[in-house]
Amino acid sequence: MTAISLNRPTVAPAASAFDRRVVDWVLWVALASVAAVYVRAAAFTPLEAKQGAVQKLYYLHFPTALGAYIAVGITALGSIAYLWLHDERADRLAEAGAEVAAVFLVVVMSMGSIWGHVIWGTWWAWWDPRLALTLFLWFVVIAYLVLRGAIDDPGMRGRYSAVLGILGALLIPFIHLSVYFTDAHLHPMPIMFKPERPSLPSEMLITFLIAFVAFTFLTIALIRARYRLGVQRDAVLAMEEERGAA
Amino acid sequence: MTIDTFSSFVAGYSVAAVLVVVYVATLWVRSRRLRTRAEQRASGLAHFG
Repeated sequence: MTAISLNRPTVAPAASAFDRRVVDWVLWVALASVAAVYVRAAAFTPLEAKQGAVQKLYYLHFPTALGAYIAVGITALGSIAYLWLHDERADRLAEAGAEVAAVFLVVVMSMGSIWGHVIWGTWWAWWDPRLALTLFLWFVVIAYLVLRGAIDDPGMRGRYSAVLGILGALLIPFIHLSVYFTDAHLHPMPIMFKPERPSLPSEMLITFLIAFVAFTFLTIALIRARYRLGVQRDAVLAMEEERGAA
Repeated sequence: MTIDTFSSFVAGYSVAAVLVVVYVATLWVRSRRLRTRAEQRASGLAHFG
């Protein structure tokens, strides 16, 4: 790795920002744990009797959805913290969560479409409330990121986007509970998160729990990496502003 | 009756893997670009570039 040589002590924060790698061992371990989930789900988890192999998408689809919820939740918490404390670190955390949520929601909807095409006979159904609300959440997350890119003033950017970040998180309980709102839905009733015990056989349940831990770890590792990227970007921008003012 | 869904299973797992790996790659590339930009600014090349 090339070291940054800085000849002015006033720009030292830029150098320290690059001391911490964006893609480091934590992210590699998280990716390896997800790879282990692939192996466990593909080779060491029994086939579901009716759906066959495609049911194994469940071990990625649902944990990824939960990862997206966690990322959106972190965006909301960061946004609340920013509105309260006006700390740019909270704003940066919220931004990191939103970007990871955007990626995870694309993964969720892509896998869901592939699964739905086999099981439901359609790639997409607008009338399914969970599908529509998940897409709506993705639009809110994208709007959050676009809004951030459109506003130059950091204070205004942080305040406006924080409001959107909090509103996005309010959709999560509606997405989870949407199957209770109407009888017209393709998604099944909750298998894991419901008042009764999870209705999965033990081998499938263990695979799901491993996948849940691995994808939660990946979510946090990606947000951590994206946060560090934000630190680097802000350091470079501060450096350029300082040079420009000099 | 079990549905023959192996290809859909492979497609779903592949899509997830590709999207995550591409995103990690974008993080790495963006970080490298920022590092290069910081080096240029630190060395003063940007004033002539």
